[in-house]
Amino acid sequence: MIWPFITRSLGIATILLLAAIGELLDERAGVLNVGIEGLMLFGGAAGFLAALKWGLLAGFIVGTIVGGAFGLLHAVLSITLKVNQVVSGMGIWLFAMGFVTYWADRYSGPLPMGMVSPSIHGLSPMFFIALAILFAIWFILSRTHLGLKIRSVGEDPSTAEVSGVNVVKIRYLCTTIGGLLGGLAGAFLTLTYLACWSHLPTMGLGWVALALVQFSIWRPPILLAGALLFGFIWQFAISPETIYAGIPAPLPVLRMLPFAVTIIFLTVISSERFRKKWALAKPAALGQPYIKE
Amino acid sequence: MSTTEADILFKDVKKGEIILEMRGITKIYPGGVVANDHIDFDLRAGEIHALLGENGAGKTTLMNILYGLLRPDEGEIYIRGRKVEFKSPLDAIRMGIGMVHQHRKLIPAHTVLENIVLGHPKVGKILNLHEIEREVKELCEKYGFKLDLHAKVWQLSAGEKQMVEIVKALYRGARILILDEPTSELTPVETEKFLESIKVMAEKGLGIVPFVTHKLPIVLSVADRITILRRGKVVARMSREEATMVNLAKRMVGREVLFRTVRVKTKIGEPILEVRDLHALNDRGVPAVRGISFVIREGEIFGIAGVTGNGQQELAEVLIGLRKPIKGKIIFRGRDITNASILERWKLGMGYIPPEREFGAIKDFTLVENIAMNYYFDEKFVKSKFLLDYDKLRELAMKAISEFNIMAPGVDTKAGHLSGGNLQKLILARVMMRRPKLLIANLPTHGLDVGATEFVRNKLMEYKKEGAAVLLISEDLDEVLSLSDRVAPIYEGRFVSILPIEMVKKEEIGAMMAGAISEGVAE
Repeated sequence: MIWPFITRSLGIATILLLAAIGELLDERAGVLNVGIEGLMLFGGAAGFLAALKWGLLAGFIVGTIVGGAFGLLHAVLSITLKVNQVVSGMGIWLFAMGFVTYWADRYSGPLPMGMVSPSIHGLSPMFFIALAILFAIWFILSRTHLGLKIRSVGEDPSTAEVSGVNVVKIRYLCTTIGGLLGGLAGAFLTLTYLACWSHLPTMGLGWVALALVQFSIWRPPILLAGALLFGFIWQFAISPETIYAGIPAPLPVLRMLPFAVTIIFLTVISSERFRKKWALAKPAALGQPYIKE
Repeated sequence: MSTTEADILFKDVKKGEIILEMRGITKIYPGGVVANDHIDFDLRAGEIHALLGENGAGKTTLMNILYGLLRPDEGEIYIRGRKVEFKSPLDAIRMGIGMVHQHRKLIPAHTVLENIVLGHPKVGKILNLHEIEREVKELCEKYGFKLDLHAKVWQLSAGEKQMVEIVKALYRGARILILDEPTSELTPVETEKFLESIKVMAEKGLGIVPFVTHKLPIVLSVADRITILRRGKVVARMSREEATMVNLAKRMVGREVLFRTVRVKTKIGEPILEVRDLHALNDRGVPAVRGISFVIREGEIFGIAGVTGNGQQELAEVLIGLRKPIKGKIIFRGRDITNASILERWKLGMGYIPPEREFGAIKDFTLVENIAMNYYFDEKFVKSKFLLDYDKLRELAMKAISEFNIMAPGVDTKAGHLSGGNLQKLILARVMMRRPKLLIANLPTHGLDVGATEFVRNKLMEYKKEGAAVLLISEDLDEVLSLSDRVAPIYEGRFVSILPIEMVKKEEIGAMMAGAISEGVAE
C-alpha cells in the first residue's frame, strides 16, 4: 500500500520538478513566464496525439518540442517585442485552454493497450531524468561562466551588456529551455502519470510549479525539497487512507489541500519577516523587458 | 595571463611615450547639436590627463567615442600610432581601453570576484575561481588595492565599489583608463585614498584620463596635464604648473567665477520653524533621526553638514512630510504641523528642493506641466472652479525661464531634454517663485557644474536677503560654510553642535562630521 503511494507522489513531484526548474531558469535570466500551465497543456496534448499516431517516444519528443516552441513564442513577445511578460504568459495559458480543448478533447480516453511507459517497480525513470536536469541546471547556474552570465542578465541586464554579455541571446536561450521543460512536464503527465487524455488534465499543476519557484527563493535544492513535499501533499489529498485511515475531512476539502498549502506558503513568505530575504534573493530585473538607452 | 591583442599592441611601452591620439573628432547629434567640434586629444603612458568642462561641454561624448559607445562623424583614433576603429565597447576593451562609469556598473547581488570575471573572454566555460582569484589578488597587490573578493557588492562602500570597477577594467587588460566623475560619490577620506591609488597606477605606466566637472582642487592635485572643453571645442591645454583654480574655472565657464559667494548680513527676524526632540526611522526600520531640536528664523540660512547616511535625508523628509516622525514636534509659523499632510505644508509656505533631480521633475512632462506640479493647488491658477489655467501657467513658466536663465527651446519642451544644471534651475525656479517662508534645499548643487553651482548659491543668498529662512543640507562642507549663518554638523542622527558661522573652524566641523568630536547639543 505504501509503495504505490510513494511512486504516485514522486510522479507528481517529477511533473513539478520539470516544469519548475525550467521556470527557475527563465526567472534567473529575468524573464517571468506565468503561462507554464499553458506550456504543459500544449506539451501534454501534442505528446498524447503524437503517441497515438507514432508511439510513446515520439509522444515525448513532440510534446517537448511543442512546449519549446511556445517558450520561444513567449521569448519573441516579451524580449523582442517587449510585451508585458505577465500579459504574454497569461495569453499563452488562455490560448492553450481553448485550443487544446478543441483539439484534443475529441481523443479523450486512455492510451491504447500495451502503450505503457517504462518503470522500475512502478517508479518512472523520468524522476531520475528530472533530478539530473535539476542538478545540471544548479551546476550551470552556480559553477559556470554561462550561469554567471544568466544570473547577471537577471539582475542587471545593462551591466551585463557593458561586460560583453549578449543579453538577448541569453534570455532567448533560457526562455526556450524553460518552454522545452514545461512541454516535457506536460507530456509526462498525459503519457505516464495519467496515461490518458481528459478535459484540461493539468489541474493547476503549472500554477503550483510557478508558486514553487517563488517558494524556493530561486534555489534549485529548495525547489527539489518543495517539489517532493508537494508531491506528497498532492497524493495525500487523493488517498489519505494510506497514511491515516480514519481521516475525518470530506473529500472536497482534502482535494483542496495542495492549493490551500500553496496559498499559505505564499502568504507566509510575503510576511514582513521573509520579505526582506525574499526581496534580496529575487532576480532584480525579473519581469522587466530590457530596453537599451 | 595569456597574451591578448592589447598585450601585443602595448608591448614595451616606455613612460612618456604617446599611446593614444584622437584627431579631429567631430560628433553632431541628430537635431544639429555639435557635441564635439574637431577635438584633438592625446595621452602619454604614465600620465594623468584630466578632461575638464561643464555639463554639456562634450566630455562624455568624447569619452563615449573613445570607449566605442558612439561613433564619430569625423576624425580618427590612433593607439600607439595604429589607426583603430571601435564598433562597440568590446572592440575598445580588446585594444586596452577600460572605463569606470559614474553610475556604477556592478551587480549588487554578486560577489566582487563574480563581478570582476563576468564576461571575461579568458574565463572558460566552467568557473575556475581559484586560479582567477590568484590572478586578481596579484593585480590588487601590484597596485596596492585592498579588496575582499568574496564580499557581496551591495555590502561595499562607494569607494570600494569604484575600486572593484577599476580592478575589473585592469583585469580585462586595460592600459588606458577612463574615469567618469570619479570622486562624485566618495567621502573625503575615500577621495584621498582614490587619488593615491591613481597616482600609483600612473606610476606603473597606465594612461589615465579622469574627467571632472566641479571638483577643481582634485584636478589640480593629481593631473599632469589638463585639457579644457567648452561647447564642444578645446579651449585650453595646460600643464599643472600653469593651472590655478581661477583660470581653470574661467576657461571652463567662459567668464570670471567667484568662488566665494558673498555672505550678506540680514536682520534675523521671527522664528519660522521650530523642531523639538525629533525622532524618525529610516526605510529599514532603524532609528535615523535621534533627538534633533533647532530653530530657524527669518533671514537666516541654517546649514546641516554631514556625510551621507547620518540622518539628514530622513530629517528633511520628516520636515516636508514624506516620512512620519515617531516622536517629537514640528512647529511652523506658530502652528503644530507634526501630523500635517505634505499639501498642507506647501500651502502654509514650505518649499522643498529634492536631493535627486529625478524626484523633482517628471521627464516626460513639459516644462509647463512640471511647473504646474507646485501650483495646481493654488486658487490663482484655477479657472471655472476646477480647470487648470494653462495660460497663466505658461506665463509663469516663461517667467521662470527668463528669470532663472534656463536654457530651453521653449516652455513646451519635455523636461527630460534639459541638461542637469538647467533641470535643477527649473526646480529651483518653481519652488522659489512660490515665495515660501521656509525653503528646504536638500543637496541643491549636487552634481552641478561650476557655473550652475554658483548660480544656485547666489539665488539662495538672494532669497535669504528677502527675509526668507533656508534650511541647507549639503555634503559639500565648503558650500555649507560659505552660505550658512549657523552650522549644525550631523553625526548618527544627532546634531553634534550648532555653531554661529563666526565661531566655526573648518577642521573642527570636519572632525565633528566624522564623529571624532562629540559635544552636547547646543540650544
